[in-house]
Amino acid sequence: MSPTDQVQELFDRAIASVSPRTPLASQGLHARLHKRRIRGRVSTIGSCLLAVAVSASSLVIGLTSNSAFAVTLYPYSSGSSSTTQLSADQRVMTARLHAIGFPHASVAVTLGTLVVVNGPKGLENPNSFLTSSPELLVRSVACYARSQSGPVSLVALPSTCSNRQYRSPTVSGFSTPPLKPDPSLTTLATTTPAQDAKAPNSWAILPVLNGGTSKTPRYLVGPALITLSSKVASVAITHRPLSGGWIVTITLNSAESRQWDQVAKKYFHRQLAVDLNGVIVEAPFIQPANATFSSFHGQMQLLAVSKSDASDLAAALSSGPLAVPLSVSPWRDAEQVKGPAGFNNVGDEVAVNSVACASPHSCSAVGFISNSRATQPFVARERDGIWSRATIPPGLTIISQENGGQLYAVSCTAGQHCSAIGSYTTASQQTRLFIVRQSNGMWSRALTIRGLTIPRGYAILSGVIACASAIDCVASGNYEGNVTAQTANPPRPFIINEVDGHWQRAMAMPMPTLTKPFVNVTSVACQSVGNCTIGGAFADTQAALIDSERNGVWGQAIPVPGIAEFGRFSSSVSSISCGSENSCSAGGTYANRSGDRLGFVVNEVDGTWREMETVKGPPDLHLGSNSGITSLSCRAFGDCTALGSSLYRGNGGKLFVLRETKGIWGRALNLQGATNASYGGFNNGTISCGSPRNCVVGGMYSISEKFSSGTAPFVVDEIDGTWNRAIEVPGMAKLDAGNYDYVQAVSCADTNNCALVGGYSANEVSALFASTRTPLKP
Amino acid sequence: MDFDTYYEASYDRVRRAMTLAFRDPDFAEEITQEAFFQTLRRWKRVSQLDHPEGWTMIVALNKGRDAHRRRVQQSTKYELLDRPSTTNFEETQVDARIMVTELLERLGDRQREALLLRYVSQLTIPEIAKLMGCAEGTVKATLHAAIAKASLQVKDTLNVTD
Repeated sequence: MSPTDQVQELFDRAIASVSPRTPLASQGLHARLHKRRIRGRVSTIGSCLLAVAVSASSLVIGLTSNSAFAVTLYPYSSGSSSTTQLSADQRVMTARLHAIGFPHASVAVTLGTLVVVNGPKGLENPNSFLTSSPELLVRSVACYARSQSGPVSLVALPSTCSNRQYRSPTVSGFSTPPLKPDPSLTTLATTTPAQDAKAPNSWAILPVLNGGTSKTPRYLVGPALITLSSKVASVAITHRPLSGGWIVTITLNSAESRQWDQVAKKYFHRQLAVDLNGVIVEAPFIQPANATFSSFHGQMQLLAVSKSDASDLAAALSSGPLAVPLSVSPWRDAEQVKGPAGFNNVGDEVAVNSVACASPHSCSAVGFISNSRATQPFVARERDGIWSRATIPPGLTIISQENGGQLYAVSCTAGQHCSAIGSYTTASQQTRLFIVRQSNGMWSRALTIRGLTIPRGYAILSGVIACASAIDCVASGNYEGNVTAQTANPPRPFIINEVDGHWQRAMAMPMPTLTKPFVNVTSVACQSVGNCTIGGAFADTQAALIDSERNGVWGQAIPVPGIAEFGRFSSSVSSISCGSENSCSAGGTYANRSGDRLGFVVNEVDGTWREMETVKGPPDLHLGSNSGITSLSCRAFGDCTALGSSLYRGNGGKLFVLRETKGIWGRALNLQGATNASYGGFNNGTISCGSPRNCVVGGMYSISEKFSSGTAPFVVDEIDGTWNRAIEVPGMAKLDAGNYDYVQAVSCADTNNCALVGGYSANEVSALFASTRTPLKP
Repeated sequence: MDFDTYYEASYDRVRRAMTLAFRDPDFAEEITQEAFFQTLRRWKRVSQLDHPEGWTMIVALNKGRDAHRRRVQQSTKYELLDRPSTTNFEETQVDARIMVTELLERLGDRQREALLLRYVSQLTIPEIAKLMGCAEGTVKATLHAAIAKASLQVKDTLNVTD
């Protein structure tokens, strides 16, 4: 029997051994596709239906509840916004809210933001007209296009149709000829709202509100002929169900009225499109029934699909532009972090592992990126809100096809100094650890760590790093054999100290006598030079572990005090953070004697780790079933915030936070999602605090009940002790993100300056995104 | 061929292959569903391929691999909350299924892809090369390396001698 036949027989037997299951009916997939198309259309057009639903519910809530509904709106500008601008926005916003029937809404300037109390819930919608200064672009219609299908063509947009028969007709009389889509436009991508706003004088393919006709849902339109500002003379709204929604009739000011007449006269009997935020909201043939042109007297009609959308638009147009645009999130739109040259193609994979901010506007992220030839570690850097292209650290000529190399974690200290730990595999399949360091934006050559011989076939399972100063860091982690198999060899820990800028030889973790040297390392934190702590779990007894360094000397690893009682069951420290000298805290999970998994926190005070305490919270969090602390961040002595997750009978996952004040831990508080930003539950999250009572949590949530349906990235801010609602990271729609998108790490340099990084897929390409937070005024 | 006919004919084979590749039957079912959903979304294009099942298989493997890697990257968090169901291998009889599962875990992504396309979907070398976007020689080399890795296990399992 040939080897090929042997393998075939083995596979045949294996496939036959998998238990049969009745496949779910394919109708389920068809229904899901249908829903997705509807959802896509609604979100493209402007989230109108959602706004109606939310607005209606807010009326009910407003009548039945005494608690005030508050939305914080953040100035959305590249620089800081002045108090004068915010005061102007306060006046405009108040006028808009009164115009849409919220006379009791109040708008206040607080901490450089606008806080709206008792306004419509639709304000939480990132696409609300109320928080923008809408502009109307009048464009000429060249020809029509079907929905985009097939591989996206990268050629520049044409300025004419491929054939005369597809050209937008000149219409005289009451009948409109059938509109024929130009087949040459089908593969061209729709112009995004961002592209439209950035280049109004370019040609564009724009979607028609309500989907147009089935054959002509998109139009090829010319450069903007006029741009009508957001201050108009008057606005009226009429319900026109047969037109597909609400007609907004606006009367322009005299100057714009003249412009509108000039353009309309030039295009007499031809078709114009009115473009609002990248969507064609009206595309009239100019007076087809008239023999000669007559003035519009400044009148123009637009279509909105919902009443709230129509009234929001009317309020925004009649109250004038905002001095500075407002956003429901302090986070800027997510942007792609491009990969090194030769990567970012279909089939490539990229994953970010860690981010750290050295100072405001200066953060670094690390991870790995792979294509069919190699897996490479990467570093990427943010400077003043702009992320540079990810690069492979100098000094690494990588590597093998399968294991390659990656960077696991990065730590930064004030003054733009960062260090990161990674591993690579040599041509002889030997795994080695390396360190790269960044000073003032320049990454040094990778330094291979000596003193650790990792057996062939073993791989690094985790790597963590913490720096107490620019030249004093600690790296740790563990390696184990046959990582993916259930029969893995036990994990072995390592510790590497950097002293005065010199990385020492790797050492094993000191272990108590009679304890097997098998440890999973999950985190490390430093309170001062030579005083750091590692967290994790003993692999054999499955007890949560901490190992402390005092004055540069590592002591023996010990179980978390109080955990021994549960030693037979699995427990682990998942996160450690130090707020000041002599003050650290750790959090994790343990299982009680009933097998329930619970979260715990534990404090170190004056060099001694106290007894662990179980996390407590409200009954609806069901902390006693399956919960744990996943991440923890400390910013001052005895002042930390821990983030945890709870799963209960498939409730999809909840996130909670609890805060330590003066060394005393409070009860858990459930984090809430805004609108549908937690639909199928939160899957996980990570926390970073810029200062006490000012933290950020990022992670991902399921977009439906099933994890496989996809995830979306979220972020939630704590501002001065108050937690906002979780929202999807702004800008993901512009990235054309796909189904499995997530925030991997967040980091705050101070109260005002934070960054988040994550991964997404677009058109089958795996990519990185990053976002930074708009500074808040103290 | 319409999508529903294709779905009925290929679903179980892809699901079984994913169960071998990722061990967890529920997880395999989820990623198979997801892969067929992606196939449906692009059915107009995928149905033109000589072997749509190969395309679906690759999508399922990619989805599974991405989710699996995220689990590894975020192992601490997942370990807390989303620990995949495990199998007690000490109690399970060592059979072809376990051998194939362990073999697939030891292989790189490309090798695993090539093996499943060859030995589960029964695609020829040129067909695999077309789907994987590489030269036929590369497929041969990839399969050869995978079979070489497997050979000892195969011999032991099937009790064959040279």
